[in-house]
Amino acid sequence: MLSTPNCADVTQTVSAPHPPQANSAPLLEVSNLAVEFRLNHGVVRAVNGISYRLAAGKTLAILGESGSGKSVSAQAVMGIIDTPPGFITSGSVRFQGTELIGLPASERRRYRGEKIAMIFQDALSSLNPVYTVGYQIGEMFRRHRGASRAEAKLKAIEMMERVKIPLARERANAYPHQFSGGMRQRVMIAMAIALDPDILIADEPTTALDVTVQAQIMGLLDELQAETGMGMILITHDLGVVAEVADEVAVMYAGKIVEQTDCTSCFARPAHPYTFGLMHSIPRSDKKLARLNPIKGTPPDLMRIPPGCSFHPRCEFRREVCFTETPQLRLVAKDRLSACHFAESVLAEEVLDAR
Amino acid sequence: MPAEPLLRVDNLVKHFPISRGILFKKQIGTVRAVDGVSFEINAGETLGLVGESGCGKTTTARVILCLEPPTSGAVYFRGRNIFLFDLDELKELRREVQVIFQDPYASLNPRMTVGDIISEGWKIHRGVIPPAQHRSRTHELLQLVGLNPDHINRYPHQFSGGQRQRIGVARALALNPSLIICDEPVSALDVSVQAQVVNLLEDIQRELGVAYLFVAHDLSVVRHISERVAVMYLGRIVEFGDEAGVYARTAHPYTEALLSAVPVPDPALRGHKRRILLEGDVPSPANPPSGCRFRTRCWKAQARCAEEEPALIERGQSHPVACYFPRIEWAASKPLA
Amino acid sequence: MSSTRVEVPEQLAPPSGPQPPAERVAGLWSDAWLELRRRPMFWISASLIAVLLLIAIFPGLFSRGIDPRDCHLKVDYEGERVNNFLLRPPYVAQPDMLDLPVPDAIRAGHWFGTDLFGCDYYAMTIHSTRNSIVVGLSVTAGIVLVGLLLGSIAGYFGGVVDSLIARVTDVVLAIPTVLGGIVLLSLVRPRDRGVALVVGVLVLLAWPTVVRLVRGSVLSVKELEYVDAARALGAPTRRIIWRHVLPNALAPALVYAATTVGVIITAEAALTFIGVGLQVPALSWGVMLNTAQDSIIRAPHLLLFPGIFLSITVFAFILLGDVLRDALDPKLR
Repeated sequence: MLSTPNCADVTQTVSAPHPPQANSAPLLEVSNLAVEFRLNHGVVRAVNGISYRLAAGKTLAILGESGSGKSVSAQAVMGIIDTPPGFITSGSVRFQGTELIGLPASERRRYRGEKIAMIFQDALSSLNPVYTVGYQIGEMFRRHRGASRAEAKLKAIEMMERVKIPLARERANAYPHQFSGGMRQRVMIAMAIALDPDILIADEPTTALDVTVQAQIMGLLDELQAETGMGMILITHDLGVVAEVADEVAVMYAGKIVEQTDCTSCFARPAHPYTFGLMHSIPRSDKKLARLNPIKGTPPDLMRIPPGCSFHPRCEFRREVCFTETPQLRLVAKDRLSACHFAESVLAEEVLDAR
Repeated sequence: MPAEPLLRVDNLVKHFPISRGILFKKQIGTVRAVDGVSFEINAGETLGLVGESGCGKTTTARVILCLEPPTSGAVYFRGRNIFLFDLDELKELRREVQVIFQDPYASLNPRMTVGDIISEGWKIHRGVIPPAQHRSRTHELLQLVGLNPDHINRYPHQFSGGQRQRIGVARALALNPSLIICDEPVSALDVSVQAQVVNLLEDIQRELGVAYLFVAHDLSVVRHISERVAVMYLGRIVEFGDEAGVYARTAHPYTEALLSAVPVPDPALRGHKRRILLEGDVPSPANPPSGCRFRTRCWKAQARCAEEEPALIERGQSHPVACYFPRIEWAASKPLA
Repeated sequence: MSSTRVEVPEQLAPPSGPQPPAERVAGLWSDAWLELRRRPMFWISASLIAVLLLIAIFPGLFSRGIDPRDCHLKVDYEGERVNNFLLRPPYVAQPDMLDLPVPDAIRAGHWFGTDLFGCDYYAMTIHSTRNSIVVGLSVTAGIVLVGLLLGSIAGYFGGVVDSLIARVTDVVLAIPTVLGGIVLLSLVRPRDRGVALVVGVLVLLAWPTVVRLVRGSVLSVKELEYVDAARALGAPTRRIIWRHVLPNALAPALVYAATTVGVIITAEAALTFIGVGLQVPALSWGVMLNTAQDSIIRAPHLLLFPGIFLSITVFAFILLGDVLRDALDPKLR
């Protein structure tokens, strides 16, 4: 390669998928979680019975569009759903064996932030605009570790350096609005990893960022995960991001997981018509496609989820049974779960590569 | 020889003053949002204008639409400088150049019915469609964009995001324009709906021969829909060529970095991809670096880059690039190609 | 498994799919109406106001046919002496004591008793409703009109125009309403202080807040993309303001207006009570209160009934304003 004197220094090899750890006990085990919102004009069933496991050091991507329930499910795990109007109507969330749902608020707080941390999409609205960044990061240490203000400040600067914010010492005294979007996201990450959590939940962490900044942030998260061995739940609608970092993928639609499998299989041979449709409908930056194949129709209104299979109004593979019977999430191949009556025939249709 | 281009932008400049003061404002600086941009669009083709936030692409679009006055430069539509138009000529121009906005929730007046929204253009430009035909023509447009004509009396909030964007397309088509400026038309939509709207735009172009200026930050969508692409950085175009040239034979380091940052939805490529990480943040458009604006983040930067800004000219590749050290050879088996 | 596939139409989902939501409509008046309908406070205040409006328009219906000026002691407001009372306009000398003690008056058929001249107090109270309501509604209508006009010009055009209007607004806003009212009204001869003058003065003092409200919401609305879309269609400025900006900037002003009616009625009563507003023989609760202030100990009912009616009226309008704000505000976004 010509004319790129420092190319080697600045390129970063996107890490290969993490090697499987044979006997990892599940860090987090979610079973049959259901959340609904009781509003004046109806009940919104945001999450309708989802189950998954997360092992240490692994990344689970929850892939879905708006209205799929992905963010609400993560909020339920964190325990930050407003009740009312939100209610966890069933299911369990076990962290290292301890059941979290139903814990009194004081107990729950010991887990939130310390063991399970969360970062959000819009850092500007997640950070308090009237306190400096150093103060907010330091708050984690003051509240949970009983540190003094001076100690907390030092730890905050250390965290900021860890997330590679330049001139951390001076910038600790700056306010959130004085940072760019990417830097603010780093601040939020610093707050989240401050207490060395075992699980990090990232809810659309890069959706609002430019693509170059997105690459930086995802790289940072990758490094931090490799350093600390924490498990990560990544919630996103961006297939590219999923492909790059996820070990396992759970695809959500209308409040349910419709496909759950390892990342490579999910992209190479989807086992659910929705996943299949998504893969075929996105344009690529690395090749020019003749025409996109969109999924017809629109995501459903969660107050009026269609009967039978919730995806049937938009499905290319549907038959009569799909209108009436709800498919359960079942094993359709080795380590592959799919909630479709005809998952096998979806599997048989290979994803067409060159078009 | 190709006919005269439909739209020709010539050294367009738009600066925003930064001012202070209560009653009488004093200027203390300028944001150089668009700092000399030139390109052409031919009839029936799509030009993609791509860049990250703050690069000036949306401002360029707004100035071409005469929603903002330019600071200097010219825009020629069918050979005539639109900034010299009087009010009547400007009104005529509006019939030919239309717009589709990004936000499907803010781009439609919530207090107007869909029918009113689409037919508003005909009420402003009387004589295009006689009032007796307004309703039937609205029905036709709704069908053209894939909506149910019976919904003509519904309000925008009764539609989903993708459907509202279709209403925006119908509104843009009402006056039979020859050029539509699309300002991030699919960014705010769900993934599964984006493809629907992209296909719709392509179909319309094929049927009606409309040209598009497609402004977006999503490189994949731009690659798909555009014939030619211009890459913007800090108010200037740094690379400009046809889609294959810019994406497969990328010459400018910024475009390279940009493309390498886009996550590719193919796990098989994990571990093989080289990603270029840019350091730091984009400089402020109020104070761009001297010489080449990208030099503060460029790994190829040398002394020459700080002295004089490289011009957007052909330097041995197939397309113009604004860099003194552009890439001129590409490995045969590039995983990204 | 049968191999027949059901074709998916190119158009949107078939009937079993998502329907455009019928109830969950946001941002329209009909949605605000649905919100309002559900709230008991709305019905309470609306009924009260409806009754008050009826009383104002048809006082004869409610006053049982009694003429409030049909008093036991006749007073001639033009002459110097009448009935042995010294009369010097604009002041009406008060008799020393009630012509008729209250219990006797009530037995004689006067529900609220009589005032010092023997006029039926109930009829007086009923007939006074009109002036208060008229003042309240006219002033509110006036300031809303002024507010919409100036507010939209200031908000939409910005620049020097905006600065000028804003500075004038600030100056007038700084003038306390009642104090300003006293100053302005005392410039005019008492004889000439009619409803029109009081309305004019109050409009002159109360317009700034509405202008600020409208300006604020115009400023936020004009940045929205549908305004740009209208400009891109070639819409002239007046069309943009009239069809696109104002309808969407209206809501905060309307909420304010509903509450303000009550406040204006109070302001008028206060001014009249002080003596600079409406004058005898105008029938107004403020006048009644003014006349009653010397006799509070001896005849508390003179203060009681106009006070109650005034309070109820103000309460009804403020309640309506509150309910409207709750119904409209979250939907304003």
